[in-house]
Amino acid sequence: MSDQLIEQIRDHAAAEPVPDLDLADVMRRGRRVRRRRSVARRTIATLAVGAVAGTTFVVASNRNDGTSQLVVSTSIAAKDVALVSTAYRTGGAFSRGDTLWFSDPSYAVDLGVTIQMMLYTSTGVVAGVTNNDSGDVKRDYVYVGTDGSVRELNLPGNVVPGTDAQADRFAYLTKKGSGFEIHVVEASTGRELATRDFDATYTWAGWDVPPIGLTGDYVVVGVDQGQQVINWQTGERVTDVPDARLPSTGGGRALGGDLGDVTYQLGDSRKLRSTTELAAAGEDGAPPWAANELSPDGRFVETVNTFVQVDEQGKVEGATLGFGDAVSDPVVYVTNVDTGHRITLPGHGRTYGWTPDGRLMRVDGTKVTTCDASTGACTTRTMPDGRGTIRMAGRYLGS
Amino acid sequence: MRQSSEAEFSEFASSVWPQLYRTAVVIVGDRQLAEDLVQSALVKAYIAWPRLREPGKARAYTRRVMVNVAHDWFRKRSWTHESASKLASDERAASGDHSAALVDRVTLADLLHTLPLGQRSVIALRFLDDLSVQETADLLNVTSGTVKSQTSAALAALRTHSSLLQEGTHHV
Repeated sequence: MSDQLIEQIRDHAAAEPVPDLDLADVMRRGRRVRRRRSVARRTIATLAVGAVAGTTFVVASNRNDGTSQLVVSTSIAAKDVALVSTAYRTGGAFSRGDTLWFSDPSYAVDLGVTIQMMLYTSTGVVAGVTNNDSGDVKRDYVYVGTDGSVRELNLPGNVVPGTDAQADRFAYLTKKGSGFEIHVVEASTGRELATRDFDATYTWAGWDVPPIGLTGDYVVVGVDQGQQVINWQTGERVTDVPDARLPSTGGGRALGGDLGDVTYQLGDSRKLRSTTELAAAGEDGAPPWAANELSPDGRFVETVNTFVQVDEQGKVEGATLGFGDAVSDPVVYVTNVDTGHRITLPGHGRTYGWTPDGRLMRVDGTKVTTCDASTGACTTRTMPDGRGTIRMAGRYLGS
Repeated sequence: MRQSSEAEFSEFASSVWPQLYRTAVVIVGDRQLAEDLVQSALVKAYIAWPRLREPGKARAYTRRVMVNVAHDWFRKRSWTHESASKLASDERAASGDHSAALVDRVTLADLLHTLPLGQRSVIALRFLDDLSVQETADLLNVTSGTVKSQTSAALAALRTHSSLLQEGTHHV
């Protein structure tokens, strides 16, 4: 009976009238992309703004040396822009070499420069890029919108910006007098929304300015005393978040505490949730240890209490619990900040990144998997083969 | 692209177009959408052609792009019922001859579009593109067990329409 039914289906399909293929249009669209990809590239220009429709590109104007160009091509069609935006929120962003994908291999932007790391905004990513393929020279930042537009950010010095996954904004710091100046910028346009001064002592990290987090109305700055919180809309300093000087922020919240194991509500720094009990005891009296990271939407905390062992090439060899025994099947813990509900997922400190809407994301070869942080249910999609490793967005210093 | 490569691509695109289009129609249930979908997939195949070249590889690549994009569209938009009725009404409007064959053909189209996207995709890939269970699973990023269960569920749902089965194997 099934065979008969299958034959009917085949007959039905075979009877479907097939329109003529507009081969000329296919090749014209394909040529346009190929031609633009072949333009000389590899260095960054001063400005690149892409109004993208269909398969389009952007070539930036030259920098002072007269040779620098940021050449961009994208597969994002104008009619798909809304779909890409939705897909990005649930599927995140990832990259390999010059190519950045928003959730799907069909939604690609080629920058012509190597992408090192990506930070989420609501409308796209702030990407750290370099014109050196090994990725170990100075990093520049560009904004890549889900509409395929690309713009260089021209951030000063050796800084890491903070982004808000729920808003079209990023923030960065510059030195000013004995203190610092906060700059909050609309990512998609480059319009500076606010500048605010603050004083603090900063010596603990190697950047020119302290690391910064941005969520809602608040900027969180990791200084020597802990984390200062400033309302960038008003300039008012509000209650600090203690300890954990590398800001992990999202959804109007930030992590604090010795191990970043307490989630605080920004504004009044009210404690919302602790994951302290997940810290693993160390050997020889060493204090319990765990690492925590807040999801970009602030709803979940990922806790890792295993150390990753890597070989000389940086390849992961295994994991140990705290400072102790090897763990054959390490897991990460994901805690819902509001309810305390907790799941575990297989992996270690290098396994997961996030999507903008708070799903965990991992990469295994060409497979990109996203997992619901409440249920642990995962979906996987396959990216095209290619040279190099796929990097995930949603990790502070890249993956 | 060299002229010989362009000629090879033209040959490739022309040869796969009818099959991909028909598969796309079953998956998305809308002729215009299916046309856009396959054309977009072919544009990507053109761009990747220097890496593809082999017809088998190119066909698989194009099919994968097509299926991925289709599934993305459907995740974001709820076209299913509207598209099904559109296809059926288009078919009826296209002919004043209400032959039994055409009615049955429209009925099968209607039935196919009552299936969930996953089941339609499995049916199209397995029975129109003749992919194996494993090939279908790889393409859709699901397990082979899921492909089997979706195939079974889809055929069971179609089988419940007894008139299709009573009237034999060929209706057009």
